[in-house]
Amino acid sequence: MSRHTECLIHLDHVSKAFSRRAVIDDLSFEVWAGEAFCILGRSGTGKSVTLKLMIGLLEPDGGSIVIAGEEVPTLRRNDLLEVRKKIGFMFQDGALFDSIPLSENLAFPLRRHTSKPEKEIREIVREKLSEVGLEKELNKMPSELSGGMRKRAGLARALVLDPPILLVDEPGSGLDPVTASEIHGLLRELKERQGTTLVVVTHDAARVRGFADRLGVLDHGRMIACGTPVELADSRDELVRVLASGEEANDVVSKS
Amino acid sequence: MARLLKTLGRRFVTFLEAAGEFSLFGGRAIRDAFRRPFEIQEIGHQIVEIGSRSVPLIIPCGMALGIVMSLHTRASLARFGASSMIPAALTIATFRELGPMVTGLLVAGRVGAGIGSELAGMRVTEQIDALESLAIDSFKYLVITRVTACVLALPILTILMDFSGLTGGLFSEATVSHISARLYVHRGFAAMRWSDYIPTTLKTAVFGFIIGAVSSFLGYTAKRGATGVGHAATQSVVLSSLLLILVNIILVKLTFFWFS
Repeated sequence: MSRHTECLIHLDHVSKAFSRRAVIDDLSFEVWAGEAFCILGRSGTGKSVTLKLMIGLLEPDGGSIVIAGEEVPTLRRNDLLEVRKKIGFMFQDGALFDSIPLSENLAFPLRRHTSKPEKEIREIVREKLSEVGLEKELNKMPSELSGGMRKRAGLARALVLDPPILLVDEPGSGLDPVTASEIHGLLRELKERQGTTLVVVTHDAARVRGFADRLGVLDHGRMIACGTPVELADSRDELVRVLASGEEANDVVSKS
Repeated sequence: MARLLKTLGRRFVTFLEAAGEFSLFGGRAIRDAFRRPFEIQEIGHQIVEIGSRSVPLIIPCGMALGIVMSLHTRASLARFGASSMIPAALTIATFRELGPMVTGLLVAGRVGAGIGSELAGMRVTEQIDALESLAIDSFKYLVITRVTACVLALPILTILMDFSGLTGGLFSEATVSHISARLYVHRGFAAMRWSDYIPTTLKTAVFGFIIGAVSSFLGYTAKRGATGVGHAATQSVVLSSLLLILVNIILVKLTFFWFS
């Protein structure tokens, strides 16, 4: 596994509080190039905040966040924007720009960051949309798309610049099982075919087990367990075991 | 009593915090406006949105204002046998104060609410975060472009308002006293100096900055979902109108000081 030799993401003792309430508390983990790392946890445990800290949308109160060799919180604005070009971010609800059609949502970053001719941009947009099964929805406005379509479109937009790192926020939440499986299938393909480094935040371990190399379990902003899906499924901690295996919870009480 | 003082104190601190945040926001808007990239295309798009789409509001309002002003001025000046001064009085009043102020307030209502709700909507639906994640400086792309467009559009809209007001006044005067357009314009501009016109039109660029910066600030920093969007839209109109009226006092004083 030669591609798992370079550390692309390194969080070291990161903390973040909102209105004096600690959301992330002394969080540390590493993600290697080409690896799929899935962060599991119950709602409100700081999973999405972790992703936003990684891409510099939020500033940590303490600790260090290194992405592709750059210390994100200390970067100047322009340098931060350069680092972000290496990272795709799929938002929980797609976060499509609602005033422009789907095709423009994808063309926009290409026009901003590349000097590709318009014809090539249109081809890339078509190709990316067909990868997520939305080539027929090209000219639709985001408001005309279903929740699942918006998520897939969000994924296509996150991938339009072919970033080596992809951060994914709750890929299956609020979707029917078929659509959720489709999106997880797309993520698996992405990892296997292009070797994209994935950090996926979810509470649905059953679906990510198919492609996750390692799982991390967050509880009250702390990483309480980290390991392969098999290791965590055998954990003595019931919360870890329930989250990692996706089995029914039975009086699970989280550590506080 | 203690509770009342505590509440007032807390509100005062909140006000100071908001004023401080807005000052930093406005300062950043001025600084970043002169830094690359200049987002010319988006500024052009915003000028169309803010400027061109305000024209259907500005022209009829200007004409109505001119007619009403003419009726009031006639009622007052006719008593003193000074009807011939009506065009001059109308022109000076419109160009010096009414045109700029009414344009500012109309744009604050139309554009302020629009910018506030649009940016707040983008904030609560994570579209601003999405822009940032795509390595696009959302502040430059969303805020600077809107503030710049407001600064550029306001003086142009004010000129339009001024001339619409004059046209309304002419229409009214021509109906009542059968004055010719040529004589009306001659009498109107005979008493006018450049200092009655240029500084008062240019001061609307400051109004544009206030409207753009206040509404962008409230939209860009919005929180609390749909409630936050509504709050940003309402507060954008209220605060930018209020600030505009207050800042106008200073600008009028400065105009008299420099162009006395």
